[in-house]
Amino acid sequence: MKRTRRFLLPVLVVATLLLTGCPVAAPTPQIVKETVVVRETVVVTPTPVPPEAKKFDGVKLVAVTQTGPYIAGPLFDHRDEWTALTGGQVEVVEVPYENLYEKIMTSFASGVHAYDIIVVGATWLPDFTPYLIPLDDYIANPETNPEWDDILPAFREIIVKWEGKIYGLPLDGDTHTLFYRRHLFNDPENQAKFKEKYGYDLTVPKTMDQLRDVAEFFTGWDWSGDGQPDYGWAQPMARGTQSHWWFWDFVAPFCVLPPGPEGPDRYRGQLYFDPETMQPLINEPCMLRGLELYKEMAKFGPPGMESWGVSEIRSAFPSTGNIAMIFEWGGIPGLCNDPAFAHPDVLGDCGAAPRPGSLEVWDREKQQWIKLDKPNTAPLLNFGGWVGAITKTSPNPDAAYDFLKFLNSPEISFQDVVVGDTGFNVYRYTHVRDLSPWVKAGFAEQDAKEYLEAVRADLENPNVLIDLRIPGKPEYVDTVLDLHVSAAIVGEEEPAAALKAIYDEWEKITDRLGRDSQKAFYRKMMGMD
Amino acid sequence: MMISKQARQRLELGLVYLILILVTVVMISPIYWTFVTAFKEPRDAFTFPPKYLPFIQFKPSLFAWKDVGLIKDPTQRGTHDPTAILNALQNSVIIALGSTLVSIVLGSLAAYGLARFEFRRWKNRDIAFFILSQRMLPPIVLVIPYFVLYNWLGLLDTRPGMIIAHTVANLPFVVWIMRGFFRGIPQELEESARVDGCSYFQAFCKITLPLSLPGLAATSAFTIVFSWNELLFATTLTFNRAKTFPTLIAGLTHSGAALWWDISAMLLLALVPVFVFTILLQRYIVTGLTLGALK
Repeated sequence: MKRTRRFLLPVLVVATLLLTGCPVAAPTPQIVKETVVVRETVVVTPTPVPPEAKKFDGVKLVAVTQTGPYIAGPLFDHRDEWTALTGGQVEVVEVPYENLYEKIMTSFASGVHAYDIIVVGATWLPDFTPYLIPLDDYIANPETNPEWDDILPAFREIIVKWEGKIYGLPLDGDTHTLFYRRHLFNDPENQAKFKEKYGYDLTVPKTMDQLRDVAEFFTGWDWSGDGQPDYGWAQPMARGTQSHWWFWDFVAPFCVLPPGPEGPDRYRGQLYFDPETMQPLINEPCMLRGLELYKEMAKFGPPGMESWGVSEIRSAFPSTGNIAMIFEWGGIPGLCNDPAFAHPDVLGDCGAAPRPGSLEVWDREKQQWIKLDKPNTAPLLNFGGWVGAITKTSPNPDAAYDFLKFLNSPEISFQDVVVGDTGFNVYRYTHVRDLSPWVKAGFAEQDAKEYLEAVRADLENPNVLIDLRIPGKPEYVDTVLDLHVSAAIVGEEEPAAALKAIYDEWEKITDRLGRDSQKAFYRKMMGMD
Repeated sequence: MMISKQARQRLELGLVYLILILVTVVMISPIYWTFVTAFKEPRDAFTFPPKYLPFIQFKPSLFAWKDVGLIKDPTQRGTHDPTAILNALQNSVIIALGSTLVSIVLGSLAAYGLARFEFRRWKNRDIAFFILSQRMLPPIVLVIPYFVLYNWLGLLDTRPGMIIAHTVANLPFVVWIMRGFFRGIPQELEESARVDGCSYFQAFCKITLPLSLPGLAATSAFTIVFSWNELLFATTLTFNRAKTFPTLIAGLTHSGAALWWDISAMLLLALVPVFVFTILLQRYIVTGLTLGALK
């Protein structure tokens, strides 16, 4: 009796705990969602309601993405329009960016149906594909084709594809662009001084060497008229602040020769690994040259830049008015044209150009530097953008696709890419053809013109590169490369030693994960198999 | 040269005050910085050198408060849903108070049992250590099992689910702290009550509980602050309906930028309830911190 009571005691305690929190609804194996209140700022323009039932009446979708306003904002903005058109409803679940991958993967790995739609970084797409439905049939069907040919090739053919299948619709296009203060380059006095010092004309940098010279020229004197010395350059340098994307920006033009008509081969179009041996290319002389330049550029930035991340760059360039140039994503023009965000001198003075190239490229096959007549450019699609995908567990894939297609449509997506705080940047030809909506959205015409030309030049470049998308990518890049690159640029480690350390660590990771399987994944990523 | 005793005392007092002022500045400066940033426009939030003084170095603005949607302004597009903010605030209050109440009730009863009764088969010390061991496992290890279990029980994205999770995390702390307090209260007082005809439970309620109020207040403060600030379980086990305030604030650091002005405004909001709670219980907390826990 006593023993039974002792056994029952913990059971009763647990039962009490559960009873204190017993939900009103009976437990169900699936998560049932309720629609939350829509943002009042959304302007809904419903079409006239036909008397007959709408095609997705009664359907409820759950979409997950990072917390707004960036990325989640447009989902909130347009879901009621879609509801008015189709009858379907969308609940948007916002998750902090740092937890987004884990939260989605938790639901996938545990077999829990939590979401119909995931809106995630393109770089994560390969990890999620086992849990997503391919969209090829929808795209092939004329009735559900999302004007696919209007999407820029880099996103249509590379970003949303894995193992030859399309797993998502692009909702955002991401690549770095060179942003600069236009008036500095048009100033005759600056032009004369620059020519006297460097022996050639001051222009927006076309090569990495010019970028260095221009950054140096605009550092250490008061060109903004605020009584303080100003700076020629700014870049993220702190560990864990996405600085690895800037590293690739600096090394790629020195390292990557354009692929031939057949696409990338062993020696062309490669940035990360040798596709035959899976040996890292990180220890090549071109990488050292790029890293040394990245380190040298730190001299031309504001004090304390060693602790800066993307957030500081993104805010400081438009709002302080004393930085001449940066590499950044496409949100900058919007911020530069926002009176609440930008320094008055920056408004309408935010030029844009493709990232510079190099007149010297390392030929890995011949193990020598090649001199070129015009700069070699190798634009990386940094991060690659956000894509919308549909989970295999969704009971309403047609409705989910219809909502994504609605967001991705030329008309709706245009509304989003011209607004700075949506986080969505251009990915369709429609977005880059016409200037007038940009000007109407408050952009200075010249700013918009230069930005669209720069983005288009990068996205149509035959030597365009994508992020590493193979198993272990977070360890290869976000952990190992990020640690040693940060150590090198702040002077804690010699650049050559840092690259050697990365090489050794990458080899260990590859061996641990399986060289052959890693090679197969890498070749698929490069479109070689 | 000899210094008079009075002069030395003054010097010591001055030194103490100087140290206290320095400590106060260090403690208050992050709150001050949060406060001024909440009233800056983005362009004033990123300047070097930084702008510390409103009205002198920058013009205070309600930009952030409009941006988070707490102040309506037709000329400025709010980037957040005020309903979601208020809902998250409400969730945080209910979950923090709920889990504190449950863990204090259950935990103090368990602590009283461990302090006053002798268990034979399992020694008191072993039971106490077993309870403490629940906190030795890193919470991240428990998250996925919780997720699966909660999905099965229908507790995902519910306030009761979060109250249970926080209660489980808080219970060991409450048991250990309260056990110390109960041990510090002379057993003779309860024995006198028993002589006067009280049951164990009546003696506990009428004698021990009132005497342990400072301990309960101090422990409540710790548990409520834990629950108020907890992020891992809140991020994993909620979606929208039971989302808490910290998840909302954490979400303001995006893939590309941190909206420091909005974060600061939200942080000020988050500070208010805890600040009020601490002020209300301050008298008990100070007493409670100096009793029992160190015995």
